Amino acid sequence: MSGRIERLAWRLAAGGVLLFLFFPLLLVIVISFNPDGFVFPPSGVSLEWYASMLNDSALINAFLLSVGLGIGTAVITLPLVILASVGLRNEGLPGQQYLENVFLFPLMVPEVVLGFALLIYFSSLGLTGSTVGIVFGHIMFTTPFALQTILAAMKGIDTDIEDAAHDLGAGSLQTLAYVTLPMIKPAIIAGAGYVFILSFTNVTMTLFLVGSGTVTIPVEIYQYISFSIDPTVAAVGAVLIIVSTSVVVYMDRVFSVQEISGF
Amino acid sequence: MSNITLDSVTKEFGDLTAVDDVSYIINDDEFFVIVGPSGCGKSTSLRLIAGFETPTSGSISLKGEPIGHLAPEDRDIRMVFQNYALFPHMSVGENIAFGLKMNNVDPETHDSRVADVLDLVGLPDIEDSYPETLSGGQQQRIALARALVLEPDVLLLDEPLSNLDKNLRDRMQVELKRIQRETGVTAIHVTHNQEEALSLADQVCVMNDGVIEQIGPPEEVYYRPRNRFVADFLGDSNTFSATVLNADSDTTELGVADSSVRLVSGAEPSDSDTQTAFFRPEHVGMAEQSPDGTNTFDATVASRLFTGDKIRYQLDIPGETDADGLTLTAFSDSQWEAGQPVRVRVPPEQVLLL
Amino acid sequence: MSSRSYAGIDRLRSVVGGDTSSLVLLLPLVVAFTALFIVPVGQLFSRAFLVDGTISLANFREIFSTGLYIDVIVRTVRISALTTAITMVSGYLLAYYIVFRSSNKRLLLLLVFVTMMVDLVIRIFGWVVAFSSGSILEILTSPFVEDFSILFSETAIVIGLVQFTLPFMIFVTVGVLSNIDDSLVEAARDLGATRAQAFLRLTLPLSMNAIIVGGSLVFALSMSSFVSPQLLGGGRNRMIANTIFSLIGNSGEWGIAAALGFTLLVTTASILVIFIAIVTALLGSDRP
Repeated sequence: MSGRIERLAWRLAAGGVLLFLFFPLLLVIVISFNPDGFVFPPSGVSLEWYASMLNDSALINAFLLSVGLGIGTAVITLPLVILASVGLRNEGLPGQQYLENVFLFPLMVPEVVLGFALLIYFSSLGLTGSTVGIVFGHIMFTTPFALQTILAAMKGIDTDIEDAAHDLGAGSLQTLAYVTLPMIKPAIIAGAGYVFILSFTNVTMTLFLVGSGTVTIPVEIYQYISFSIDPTVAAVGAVLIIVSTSVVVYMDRVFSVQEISGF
Repeated sequence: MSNITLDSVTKEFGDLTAVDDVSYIINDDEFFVIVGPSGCGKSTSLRLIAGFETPTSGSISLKGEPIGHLAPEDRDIRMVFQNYALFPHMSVGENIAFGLKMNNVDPETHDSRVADVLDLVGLPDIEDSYPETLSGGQQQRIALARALVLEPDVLLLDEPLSNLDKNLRDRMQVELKRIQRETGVTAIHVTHNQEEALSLADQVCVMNDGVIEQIGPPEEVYYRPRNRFVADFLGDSNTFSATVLNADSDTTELGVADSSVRLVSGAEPSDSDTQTAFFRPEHVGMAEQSPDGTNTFDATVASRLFTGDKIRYQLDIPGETDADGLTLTAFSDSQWEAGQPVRVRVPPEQVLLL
Repeated sequence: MSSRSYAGIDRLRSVVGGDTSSLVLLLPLVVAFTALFIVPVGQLFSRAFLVDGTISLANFREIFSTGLYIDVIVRTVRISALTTAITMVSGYLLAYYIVFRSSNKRLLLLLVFVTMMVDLVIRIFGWVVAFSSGSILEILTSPFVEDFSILFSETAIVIGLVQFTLPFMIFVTVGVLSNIDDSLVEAARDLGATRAQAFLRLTLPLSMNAIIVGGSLVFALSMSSFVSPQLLGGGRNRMIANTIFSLIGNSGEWGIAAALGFTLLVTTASILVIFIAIVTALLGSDRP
């Protein structure tokens, strides 16, 4: 008897915590279809907010910019990280352990501080508010995450297999191209997805890096919320929720989430 | 004709000397087996020949040309790894064709060469399978095929049979010998299993702690070991420290350490104070009765061990007091019980001095 | 036993000398890293410590003597502490369930990960909506609560921060709990311990590192958070990050902002480093 109650209690407790986590997401989705905006209960289902969203050029531009930035950041960061992983994996470099940890430092720095530091830095370089500046910031921010994923995968490769490739006539570059990289393909895909999402959803640091012409979607949403609460934001939010969820689910098929989280 | 030559090769890893001033010549078409306990330097030797390590000093030559400075990919030497190291993301066909691709062999010929080598190892028509679906024995043969398709001068085998069960291992030994004969490749095989070494090799090289203890054909290293290590490593042996009591032109009388039993050897002793007396268990004769003679003793069967193909006995020969007897290992087809008395004889000409 | 060196690198090394080849590979990332991280952060520090060209602690003195800034710092610590307490308990709960009581660990972890990967702004937006008048929360709590004015209060910030930090706590805890050998608990039960006893005397102590590492991570994240306090706190409930942000408009105040940033960085980094060091030291005497 107590066993069943205990199990029920556990289900409720765990379910409660999960519900807490999902509550705002569900709410946003509901609101996006609610013609009365934020007022509950909804009187019907309406797509007016989605229409309003599609008519808002600022939102569309911000969305496109974020997608472009995400892809651009991934395209630049992944090769950098892969190259560095190959270098870090070889033994013989003194202080190599420390180097690995050094690359993780950005994780310890609060985003506000990172953003502010970059703001000061870019202002002296004339890069404030430029797309390039945002890309740079995102590269630096996402590198530790990508490095964790890729380096761990590289370290897991059986060195005998690479030795075998050399033995059969492959040079270092050929081994990398035909054997090593294909073997860590799942990690590369996961790393790319991870970098994309981190860049796409980044708010705090990006706030310091945007300019009037270059606004990312999270920043745009942030500004909408701060200044005028418009249910159109809910429509945007719902779309982003779907996009993020799809990317994560796809990534999970390729590479289990448990390893990515890096903890 | 010599194929591979090692000349005073030493390999150090920091404080550790894995290979210590090693020299030997491996001839064309030879099946050369390096055998020794873990840590003896046999795998390092193989990796040096393959090119994964560079010698700290000394030189390695292939057909007279030094190769120590060449990368593995630039040597016409191919290796079969202990855990096969097949490329998991490629099919069997692609695995085997990989070397052909890397060496810029005409792509038109790839398919037929792959098919031919798969026939050679006895696994036709599995080009499209993936390694993970194959058994250990099959994977091993694919690894072999992958190395052989390039028709190398030298084939290296790093304990390839260690992961297989006994039956499979025995069959693969026969296969390996056959393939080596058919292709005429020079094979250098590394193992810690002395039975394997003795059955496969044209030349056996016994290594211990980075140095070579002895090189020679299997019968020579087995029946005429140079020292105690080789004697003990290559199968059961009776080895004893002994002192010379009496020596004449034909025989040497020995006192065995910690024992009052006397052994007579047909060999000539060295100059040092202690000798090592040695004879194989199969040379110990056991009988119910036998006349007195040299090296003939009364003994009791201390224990027996049935190993399937033979029976191994420990025999206690009593000394003058309770504590100074001698225990021998013997093989026999006959059945003896523990505690049974037995007459034991060791022919003096089989007692060697190391 | 032998050191594995990659043949290509080994040979390149013997040709080029030293560890040049590894360096060559690392160079792009190192360059990017220096240019985009080390230099900017360094510049920030110099702003904090440099006043009119001379090294001085004037900025720091101002921070720690002005009531305004002290209030902010105290509030930040207070909110972070509360958030940490709530998150540690609820996070541990869900993590424990996922590892030991659930039948679909992978799915649940995926769900948690999904929430983490949705833009924080959207998640906080959801709470803003939940806290505004006319929302479902107001209706649900109307029998118990007279004045539904959570928005722009410290309570709202705490709820937002729990939303933000909970997934981190869950992942850390799941990681640690997963490493605990099942057979240990079974052995305890076999020897007569009840579930509760097994938990208190075995599981809980063994998962102490989760609690410590997770807790310090949550605390550090809360201390440096920006979005939650900004959107849920309103002008009167500023935390350190918001204050820094508000100062950037006026470049004359950058020195103070930098000093605040430096203080924040040192505090959070120290917490993380110290606690992780303690845990790794403890692990020496601990059995996993």
